[in-house]
Amino acid sequence: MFCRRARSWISLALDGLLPPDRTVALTEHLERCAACREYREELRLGHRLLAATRPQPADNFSWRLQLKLNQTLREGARAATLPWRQTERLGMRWWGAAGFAAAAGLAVILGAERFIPPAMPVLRPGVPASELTDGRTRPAVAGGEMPGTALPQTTPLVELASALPHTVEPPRDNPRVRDTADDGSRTSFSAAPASGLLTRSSAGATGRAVGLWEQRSTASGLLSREVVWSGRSLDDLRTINRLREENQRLRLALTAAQRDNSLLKAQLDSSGVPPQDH
Amino acid sequence: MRLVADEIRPQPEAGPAVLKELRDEELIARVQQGQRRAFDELVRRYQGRLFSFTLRMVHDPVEAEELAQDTLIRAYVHADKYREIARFSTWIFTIATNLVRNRVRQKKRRPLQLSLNPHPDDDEIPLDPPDPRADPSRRIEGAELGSLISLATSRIPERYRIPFLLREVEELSYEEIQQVTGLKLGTVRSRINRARTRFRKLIKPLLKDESLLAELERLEARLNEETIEDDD
Repeated sequence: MFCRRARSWISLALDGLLPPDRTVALTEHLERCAACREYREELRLGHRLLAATRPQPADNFSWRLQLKLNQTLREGARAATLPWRQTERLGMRWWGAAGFAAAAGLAVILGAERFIPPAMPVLRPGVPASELTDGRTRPAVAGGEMPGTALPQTTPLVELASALPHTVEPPRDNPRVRDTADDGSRTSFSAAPASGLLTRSSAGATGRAVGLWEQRSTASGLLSREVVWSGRSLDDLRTINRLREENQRLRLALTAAQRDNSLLKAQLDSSGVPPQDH
Repeated sequence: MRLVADEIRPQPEAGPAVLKELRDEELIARVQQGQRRAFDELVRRYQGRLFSFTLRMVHDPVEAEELAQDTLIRAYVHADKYREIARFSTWIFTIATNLVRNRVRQKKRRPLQLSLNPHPDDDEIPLDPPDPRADPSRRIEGAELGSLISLATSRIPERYRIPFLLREVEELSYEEIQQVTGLKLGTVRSRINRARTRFRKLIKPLLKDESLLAELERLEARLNEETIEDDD
């Protein structure tokens, strides 16, 4: 056997991994080869030297570890309790879209039995059809709007007691509901993101605020009123409650971690060990 | 990230004496249930092992301590990810090895960093210990011996050093080293063999020192005493 092969077998033999037949061959070689015997002894000494000179950590290693761990946990708890406006915008967009879709669906469901297929909004005299389909709000003209309300950015249904039929194609993505009261007044609903309300509600809600804009035409003119609906479904409310409970738990954990941190700092100070910045 | 909230659920915690008797895998299971004392016992068992491993890899005590602490913190934070399909030592040394590799990679990307190795291009030059013939009364002391061994390990290439230290010092099996490093079994075997050959070549001048064996036996006796004290 050549010494090169023998030395690779010696390495395996030291780990108890050499098969029995090779162990026999290696033993026979070592009986004859002083150089390989010396090699084996040097490997054994090297193993002993490594074990005997293992470096030890500083005495305050575990204290510093505890401080670092508490800091890590504190940062983790803080990150988990950030207000909604600082969370991932993508998530907000998803919730926003879901809330809007829920609101639109609810508007359809509420007025489903009275839903009238897109027949034709009746134009107000003097308002051309094109201005109704551009999706922009228009300041109220005759009949005016109630002070303090903003018109939604959608194509509102406009009706008059005295209507002139026109074939105007309503926007496809804007479900509409019409309601005719007993007194002849007609109420129209159009679901749309309510301007101004969207920003206020996005900080805390899981869904966007959806404005329902009610326009009632009466004999005396056109009255419009904005009705805000939160767009929160029951699932959203359950989610809010669950998150509030989790928030509370995390706040308690944060308090406990801060208490532990203060205690460890006090212990470190009393030990006389100089503090180390991390 | 594991919720801190899990920690504040009331759990029956065992005392330190009971925790000392538990296996590592039983301890980490208790950590998963939120028992911080079980983690303290794991820290006590592994802080030395992790520190010696990271120090022999990066050769800077401050960095080594940081790496060892980061390993333990990650083990705590991600304790829920441990499954008893592997030994706990394998799992925690996998974390340590990955952190060490990342750190070594970062260092290589910084070319202006000074090297303390006087022979950066040749890792095979043996150590140059003091000549015992010049002063026969001079003995190699423990601390000096430790630094010489540390210097020798620093001259083993990193790709050989990791499996070498895991086998020689941490006594992980070849299969466990395979799991930790992600290398094939044959590669683990050959790298350990090469590292041993190189290490032996580096420390050969040391082995001529007559006082070395006496100092080694003294150090081993002291370690045995410390181990017995810990068990008590």
